[in-house]
Amino acid sequence: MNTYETLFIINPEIGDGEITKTIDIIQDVITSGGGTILKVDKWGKRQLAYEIQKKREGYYVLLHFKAPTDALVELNRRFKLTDAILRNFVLQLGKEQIAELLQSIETETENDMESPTPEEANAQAVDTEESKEQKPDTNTEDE
Amino acid sequence: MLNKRRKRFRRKKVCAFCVDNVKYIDYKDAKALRNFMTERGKIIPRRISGNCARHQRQLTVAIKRARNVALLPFTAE
Repeated sequence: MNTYETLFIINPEIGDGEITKTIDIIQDVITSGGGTILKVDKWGKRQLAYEIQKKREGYYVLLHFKAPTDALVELNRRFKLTDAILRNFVLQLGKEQIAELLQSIETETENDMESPTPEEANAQAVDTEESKEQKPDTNTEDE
Repeated sequence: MLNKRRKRFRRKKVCAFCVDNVKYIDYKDAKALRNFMTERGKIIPRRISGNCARHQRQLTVAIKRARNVALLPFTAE
């Protein structure tokens, strides 16, 4: 099992429902081939650097996953077959990149647990603002 | 500082990636890669950017990958 990342561009004109469906299909292809999804990162609509099939925008999805090599063959086949996918790129990750990736996943899950409600996040933001305000005050007192 | 190092109108160039101790140049960071391209979308050669051989090699691979996924242009329109 190797760790891979894949970046693919979906045609944004097919609608939000179809986009999520396409992403789910790709994830299914990986999991049914014996792989596991590590991280899904939807970049959303972005302007393309050049036109692809007369389109100026694309919906970018970055997927990190672990999979046996057999699953990749099927994945590449599906990428080619799916018309809604304008471009795809699969890259095998090196050791350092895997470590970095796992770390980013960890910090993300921690953040999810720490800031569940927007109210609490607001309260925290106020706290930091206050502490910032206090600092210059103490400085002037010193002078 | 720079004036002292200047010799025959040349100034010492240092690899931007070595300075930051970069181990892997990410193709997804199009903004950073843009710094090493001309306005027309060409890759700036090593003799001008001052990059070391290893990082220039990694950089060209990263730029070419980024071009394939339409994060960077092959040419300016």
